[in-house]
Amino acid sequence: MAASTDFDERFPVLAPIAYRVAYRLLGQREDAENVTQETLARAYSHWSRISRYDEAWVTRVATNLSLGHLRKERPTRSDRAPVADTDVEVTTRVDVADALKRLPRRQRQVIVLRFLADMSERDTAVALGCSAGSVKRHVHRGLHALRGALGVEVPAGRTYELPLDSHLEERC
Amino acid sequence: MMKDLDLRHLDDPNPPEFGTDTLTRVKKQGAEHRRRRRATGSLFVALVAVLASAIPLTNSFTGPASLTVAAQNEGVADARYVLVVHTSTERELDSSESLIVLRVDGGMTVQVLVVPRDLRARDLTTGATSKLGVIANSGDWQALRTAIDAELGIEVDSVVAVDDGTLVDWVDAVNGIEVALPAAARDVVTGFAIDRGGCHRLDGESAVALMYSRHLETRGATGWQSTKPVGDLGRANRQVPLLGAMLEASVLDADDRDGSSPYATLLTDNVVTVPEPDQGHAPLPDALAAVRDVVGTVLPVDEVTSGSGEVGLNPSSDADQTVARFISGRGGDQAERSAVSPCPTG
Repeated sequence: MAASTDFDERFPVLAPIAYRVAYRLLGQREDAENVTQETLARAYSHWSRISRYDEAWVTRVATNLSLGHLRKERPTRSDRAPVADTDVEVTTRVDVADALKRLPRRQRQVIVLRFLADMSERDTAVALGCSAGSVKRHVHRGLHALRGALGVEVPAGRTYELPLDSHLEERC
Repeated sequence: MMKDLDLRHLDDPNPPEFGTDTLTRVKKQGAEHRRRRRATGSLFVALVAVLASAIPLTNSFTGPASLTVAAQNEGVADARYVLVVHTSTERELDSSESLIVLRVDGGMTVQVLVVPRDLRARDLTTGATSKLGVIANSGDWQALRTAIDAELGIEVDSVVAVDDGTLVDWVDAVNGIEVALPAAARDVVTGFAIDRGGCHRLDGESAVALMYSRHLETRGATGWQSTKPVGDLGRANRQVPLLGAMLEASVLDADDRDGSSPYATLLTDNVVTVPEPDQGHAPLPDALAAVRDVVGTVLPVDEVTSGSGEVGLNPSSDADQTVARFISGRGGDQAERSAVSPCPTG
């Protein structure tokens, strides 16, 4: 079956993406592997629909599953020693996860693709069907929102002009 | 220059290999996902409470001024209000069947205020006092927004109009909603009919027939009996748990689709007002997509009869407190939330 073959071919690319995203948020190999497997299983079950934008989809789902995992597991996480994490790394993971949960969906998607999956602005725009300008705007707003939590530097007073068809752009 | 967010120091220095074994497990798990999705659909359940309590009959509504002050005091400028007008094009000839205000603030909980369509309000374009449903039926959305602002102190940002055909399609798209009824129930006008109490999965036609029901009857020991209150008020009471069930079904479906809530899409695709300039709100699709929970209440009202004998509704004495709680994001208490709950298992 063609769809199945495509998935097999893409698996070696997609699995490391999901793992990187999950590990950056969870800091636990076993948890990150579980999230990776679940993410790829979902990708397989939806493959015909999502194969055109598989990297963005896998990134988003791995992020959502990781955040969901943290919500469920956080009360007991202190029992488990993080693997080789420094205090700073643990703090950063928690801060990133908490901050992401507070972002509006589109800002979260852009931030996740740009900084958890390390995609370029251009690739992020393609993955989300947005203009590069829209990605920049969401990145700016997202980083601005994250500033307090993560100490990200954003120039004060900087604003972006909304395009004339702003209500359509906002869908992006 | 903006400093980018560099998270590479959080990477696993020795990431695992994902080989054929993992691929096999993933495909097996994925096939199971597919099977489960086909078999079960959405699982959330609503308990439709048939409320018998009488509404207080005094009327000392203090008007929107106190509500505005309450809202300012609560610092709720980030919230936006979406008025959802469900219209029926088949059952009662272009009649607005419900007016529901959603308070969306980008958080996980959406507040719902059901406004009975027979609520009397001043139509500021004509100067006459009309029922909100009548203003809605005129299709003059600006007049409707103005009337709701004047009557309740709620500044509606967007109006969404959804007809019953769209609702039917949507409920079917999420594989129906589950509703628990205390006994066999029917409405001979809308065609809703359930032959026994308990949990039932309603398809789109049945769900809409229940949502629009004004004269729901349940079968008791002595035969069919009207549920109280009847009419618009009874319907408004049932719409909170029904809407909750729809939103929850949509959330589950959205999770299954990994983020794209069909209800959010339904609403954003049917906005009928010209979008307002961005006032710092999250974009509507984003704000709706974040929703994972719904709490709701019905505007308390008193029945009044005009000099011409027409029956209508006025806000009751505690309506201002209800609206103030709604505006401040604290509408819907535990008792109201308990009206939406899963069916017992087994």
